[in-house]
Amino acid sequence: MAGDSENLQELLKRFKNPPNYGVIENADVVSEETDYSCGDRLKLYFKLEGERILDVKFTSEACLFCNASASFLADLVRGKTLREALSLKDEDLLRFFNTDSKSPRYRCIVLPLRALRTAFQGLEKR
Amino acid sequence: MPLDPYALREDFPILRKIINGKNLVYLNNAATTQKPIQVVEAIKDYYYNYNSDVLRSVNTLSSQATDLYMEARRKIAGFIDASEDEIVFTRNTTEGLNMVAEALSGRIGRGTVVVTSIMEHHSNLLPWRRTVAKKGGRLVVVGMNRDFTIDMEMVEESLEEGCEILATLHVSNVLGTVNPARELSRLAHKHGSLFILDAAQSVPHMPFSVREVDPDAVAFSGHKMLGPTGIGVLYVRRSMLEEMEPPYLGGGMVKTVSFETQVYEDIPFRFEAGTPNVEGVIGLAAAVDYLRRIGMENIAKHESKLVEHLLEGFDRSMVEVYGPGEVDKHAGIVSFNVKGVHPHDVAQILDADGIMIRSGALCAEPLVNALGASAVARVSFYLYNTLEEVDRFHESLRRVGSLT
Repeated sequence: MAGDSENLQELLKRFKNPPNYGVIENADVVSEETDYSCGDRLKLYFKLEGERILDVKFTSEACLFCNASASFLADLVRGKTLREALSLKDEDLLRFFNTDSKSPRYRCIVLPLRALRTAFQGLEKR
Repeated sequence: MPLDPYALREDFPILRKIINGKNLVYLNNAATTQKPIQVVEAIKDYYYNYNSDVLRSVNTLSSQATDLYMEARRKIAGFIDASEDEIVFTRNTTEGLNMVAEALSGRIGRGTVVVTSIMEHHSNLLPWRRTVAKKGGRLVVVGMNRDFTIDMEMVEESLEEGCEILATLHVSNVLGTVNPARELSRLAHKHGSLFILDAAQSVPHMPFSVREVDPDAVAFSGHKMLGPTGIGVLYVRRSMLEEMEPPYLGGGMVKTVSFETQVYEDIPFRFEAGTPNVEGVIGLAAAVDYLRRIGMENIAKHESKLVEHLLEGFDRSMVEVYGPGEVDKHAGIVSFNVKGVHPHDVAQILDADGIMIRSGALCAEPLVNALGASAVARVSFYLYNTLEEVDRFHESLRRVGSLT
């Protein structure tokens, strides 16, 4: 928890205006996730070329941890195939924060990954 | 005599804890309260000296345990002016409200109107919505006034339209506003409706009498009033309790059973199947003793003083308060947002200073959304909080403001 507080100061500096924040107007897939327990809301926008993710952006009403995590996630999956993106684990985001699933911010941090999974599950069905 | 929080704090060992290098400031009492030595010792004494089954065995230990249990039941019932056979022990408020919604489902048919309000905790919304959906009834959600109290005109209109059950909360766990329970009850009964009250945030903090409010059912939780978790109380008017079907069947709730039939126990025991939470009941009775010794009126006044100091300290150019924002309309709960900072981040910065608050949708998502927010930060007080702690909170909150 103390570690999370130190993270917060750092995150505040780096993610006041998080990279990758914004809308992709002609997105191929848009996915929305809410964490009802904490009230974080996140939307991911994907531009695809076949099975490859060309671009990702996000908009949110969320805390810094969630925003920072979404920002990291966008960098992680840009240029990747859907299969590669789906193989990402919670830990791939948690390590940016030097924390683990016991963090009180765990749900905020993994929310973008949940949105990503929702997006591609939807795509597979189509 | 006004209560002295510094003297009371001696009874709460946890308040001496150091968190992140600072003295713990616990401002999350609407979620759960801390426990005094007296409550923990009562539970310990029960386990060390009296532990047994209750209301069953013919032996000395069981009879001593039963005496303690029944004495505790009388104390807890007496705390809200009820008789001992009018209260049913539950796990918490949520379970109590679910039990009532289920038990009353027989009264709900096609087109039956159940009225609740926009400010409800999910526990007083979802059970009714399910019951109404199953039986083809209609759930009406009344709004609130500008001062964040329930819209009484809308309540009256809904009652005139034939509402059968009015279910509202007494004190909002988000806004801290106090609804006029006595008036709601009077109106409901005038129109032949039942009145169900979620008193999770009122019974622990102010004088409360079922004889005065006259509700048909009231639910509250032990852990929000210095008692242990896992014990709650559901008061039900005797005539309604006698009609209600027991939710669980099994041990302890029957007088006689054959392979063909059974005769249920009298009220309230027929609603308490299985070995009861004796530890919880005894712990809650000790909590009730503690609260009575201090006096509920004194607790309410103390919290009011804390709220006043809290409200005065906010920089309104930086902080939006959700609620009346006037001390005489607030119980000891205040929700707010710091402009431009997510409430989770506010909570985290305060946490670094040892200050525990709650942030999120507070299990009242429709209300929080209606306030135009997706989440809020909340401060909630109890008898052991001090004005100094409020000052420490504001000092820390100014650091949040400087980050925007």
